[in-house]
Amino acid sequence: MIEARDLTKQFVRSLKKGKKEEFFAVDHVSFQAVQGEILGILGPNGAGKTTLLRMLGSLMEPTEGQVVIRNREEEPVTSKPELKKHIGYLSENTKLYGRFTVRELLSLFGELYGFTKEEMQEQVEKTNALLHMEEFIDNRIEKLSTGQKQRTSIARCLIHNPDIYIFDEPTLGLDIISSKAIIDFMKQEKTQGKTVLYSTHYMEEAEFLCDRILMIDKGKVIASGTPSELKAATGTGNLRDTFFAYMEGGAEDEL
Amino acid sequence: MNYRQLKLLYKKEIMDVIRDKKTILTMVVLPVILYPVLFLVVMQVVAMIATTQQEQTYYIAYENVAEEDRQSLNNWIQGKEDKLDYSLKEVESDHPEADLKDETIDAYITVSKAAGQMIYEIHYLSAVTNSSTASDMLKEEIDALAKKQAEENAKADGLDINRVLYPVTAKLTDRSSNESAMGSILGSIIPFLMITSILMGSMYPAIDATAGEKERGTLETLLTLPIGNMELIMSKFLSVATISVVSVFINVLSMSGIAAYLYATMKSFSAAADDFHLASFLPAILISIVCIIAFALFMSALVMCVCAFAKSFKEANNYVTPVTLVVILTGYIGFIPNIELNFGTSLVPVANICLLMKNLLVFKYDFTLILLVLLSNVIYAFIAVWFLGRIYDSETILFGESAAGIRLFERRKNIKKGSLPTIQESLLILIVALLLMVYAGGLMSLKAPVMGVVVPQFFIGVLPILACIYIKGNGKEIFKLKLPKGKHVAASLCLFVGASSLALIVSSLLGMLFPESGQNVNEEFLTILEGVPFWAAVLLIALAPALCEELLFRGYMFTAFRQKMSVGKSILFVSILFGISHMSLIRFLPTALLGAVLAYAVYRSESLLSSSIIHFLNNAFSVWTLYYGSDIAFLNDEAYTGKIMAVLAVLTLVFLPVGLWLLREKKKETDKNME
Repeated sequence: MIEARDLTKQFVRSLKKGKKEEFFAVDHVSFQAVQGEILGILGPNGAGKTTLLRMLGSLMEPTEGQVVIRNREEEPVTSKPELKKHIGYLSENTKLYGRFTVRELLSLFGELYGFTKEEMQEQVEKTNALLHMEEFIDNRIEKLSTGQKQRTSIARCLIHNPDIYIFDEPTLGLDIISSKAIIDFMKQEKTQGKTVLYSTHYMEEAEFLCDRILMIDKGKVIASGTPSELKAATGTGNLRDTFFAYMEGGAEDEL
Repeated sequence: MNYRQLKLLYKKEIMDVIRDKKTILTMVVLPVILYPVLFLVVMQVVAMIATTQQEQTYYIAYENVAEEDRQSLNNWIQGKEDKLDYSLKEVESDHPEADLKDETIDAYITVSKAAGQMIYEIHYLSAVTNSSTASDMLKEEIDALAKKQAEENAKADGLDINRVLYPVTAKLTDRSSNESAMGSILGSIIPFLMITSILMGSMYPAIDATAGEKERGTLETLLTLPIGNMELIMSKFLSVATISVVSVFINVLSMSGIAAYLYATMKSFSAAADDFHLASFLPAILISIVCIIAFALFMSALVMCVCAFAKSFKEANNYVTPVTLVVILTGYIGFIPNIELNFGTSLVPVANICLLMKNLLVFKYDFTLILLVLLSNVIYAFIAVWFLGRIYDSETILFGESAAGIRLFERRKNIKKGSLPTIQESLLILIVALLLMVYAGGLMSLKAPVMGVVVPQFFIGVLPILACIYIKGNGKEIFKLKLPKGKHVAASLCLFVGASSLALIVSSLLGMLFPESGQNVNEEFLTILEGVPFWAAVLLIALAPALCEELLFRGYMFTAFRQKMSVGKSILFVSILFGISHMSLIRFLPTALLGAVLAYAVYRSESLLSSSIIHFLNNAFSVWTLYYGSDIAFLNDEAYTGKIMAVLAVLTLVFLPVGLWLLREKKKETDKNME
């Protein structure tokens, strides 16, 4: 389980003449996501989704608030390196080292997570079997196809067997087959009792995949609930219309 | 620090860099192949030029020379012909002067006779290489002939040749060992090559590990791992440093190869090489290696700091170019004869390594200085690494947009019109101007001391103008080209009296504390101005700085700092830089104080002219005291010192506040509205 408590991120914009302006990219956001749940995070560009997810993944330090994860023994974890060990983070910005082979990359990352070399050999073989990477596991990543890279990325974020996945627009710019690999993966991990946080711009994807949805705009949560709850509350037929309803039309030109 | 993670990350960084073709190219291929090839080509060209010069036949004509005079010279030359590498051939010419101009002959000779003396006059063209070589050779031959005849004459007269002809002679004996003679030749070139190779060796890995990682999008992936900032930085820094050190060694090996080749050829040609011991360079080489490693650490961290701000390879290249420029220009310091390693220069980065290696190659081992150089490089490396840590801790730099840095290396068409200067640009201009001040100023002052002051001023004025044109800046806005209001002119006059008095008080107090350095400043100026009339001195020492320095400091630089900082901070930093750039410890405080007043005047009046007025009057007054100060008795009378100081204090206390008040008035209102 992962919990955001009053998460806040303030950025400073530099203006002319040495003046500075502070603004909230994420403004006191709190929520929980439990085991076996896929939580969708929706919002227009610049709403603060990426900043929120970066804080949840401990890539960024919150200005205020806290991230708490409960491990399998239900003990709270709050320290930065420990949090990272429980999280698999994947975004369009988490590219792979092209000059390494898939095997080299996976063992390096696993060892950095604290596993021994021997443990990693075993783990790499398991992952290989799971994601069917036999044909390219010893190739350099720069030589792989987009689909193969995508599978390697998934392997990279599950190599340390995390309890929580954070996916920040993982399917952006991918073709249907590559996105399907990721979506299938999320569904499968959900059945394993893992928690998935998932941000996307594809409303259809979110509608059939997510157990609950968090709508955010200008750094604030403006609505949350199951897809059907949100549709009912706005009286709309699909999630796309629901989204527009919450953005009050003003966001149309932003999309 | 988690050493296991550090080791893993270090391995990862090294692997990542080594698998990059560009690194291998700059690190291995370039030194291993390029240096020897370059060297061989240069050797060949030099040898070719030498042979063509030696085998050359030079054509000589005579004009109106009697047959016997002509014959005696010809016989003399031909008698020696076998021993010469060149030949001087006589040709007939009816119009020797015209033929010389057409270069069909290389020189012609006329003869005149005086009592007991025969004068061969050699006519040649100094601008034509062959002609001037021919004239040198002819002169040499005629001198030899003269010597032979003089000796014969003396003998015929029964005189003691040595007593009459050579009562005094000079003989040169070079007491320096072959090794140190060699070292002094290599002393300027080797440090320069070293520094360039370290820079090149660290540049690509540094860009690759910082901006390259950001560009390829792997930085965020790396940040998802449970690793600390410290491990991240140290692994990157250590890997870049390792690679630059390795590249230095490859360079050293390549150069040693050339040296060994030279040594072998020298040995086969001359006996002198027999008592030339390469081994005697060993301590110098060992100490150099230690210092070079320290320097490589510093260089790697420095280049990484600069690159860390960039988001892409291209951008990083733009940022590194000015660093390269400054480092290479500083590396030239070894070529300047009179700059020595001392306490001061041993603290100047880059320069200290050059000068130290220069010393080591002529076997000057001053261990205090060696230690200082080593220590200062290590400290600089630490500072740079610490700074790098700060950068990697800053989320705005890791995730944020890139800031506008130095656009002087960008394509001009990509620069927006009406751009404003950046702090980095203004600092680059200052550094380049200061380096030119050392180099060009030093060179010019050999011709005339006063030129050593004027030429740098020219650069200080021209560089910001060129930069402004390049970034398509609005000159009026950047340099505050506006006439000041009458009130502000009055303020400038008051500030001149107040600020100059204050600066004088501070200088005299500092002069009392450090009497020698105070004296030196005045003496330095007096030597510079020797033989320069008063009016010219006013133009050069007062007017030129009042225009040029104002353009750079209160113009370009102040505008640049104001983009990012508050008024107070901008004034503070610009004034400190103004003080430092006068490169004199004793003048730092008074200059910086004056600089602060100048900057404030420009800020309030929004006109560069108001600070120019103060600056001009201040410098003109100094020039006046230099020229006529000694004529006024009480200025030099120690009994009056206290009274003079009191008067100056009163002037400061009255005029400085009045000047500031004049600047503040009314402007306050509009300023409030703006804020």
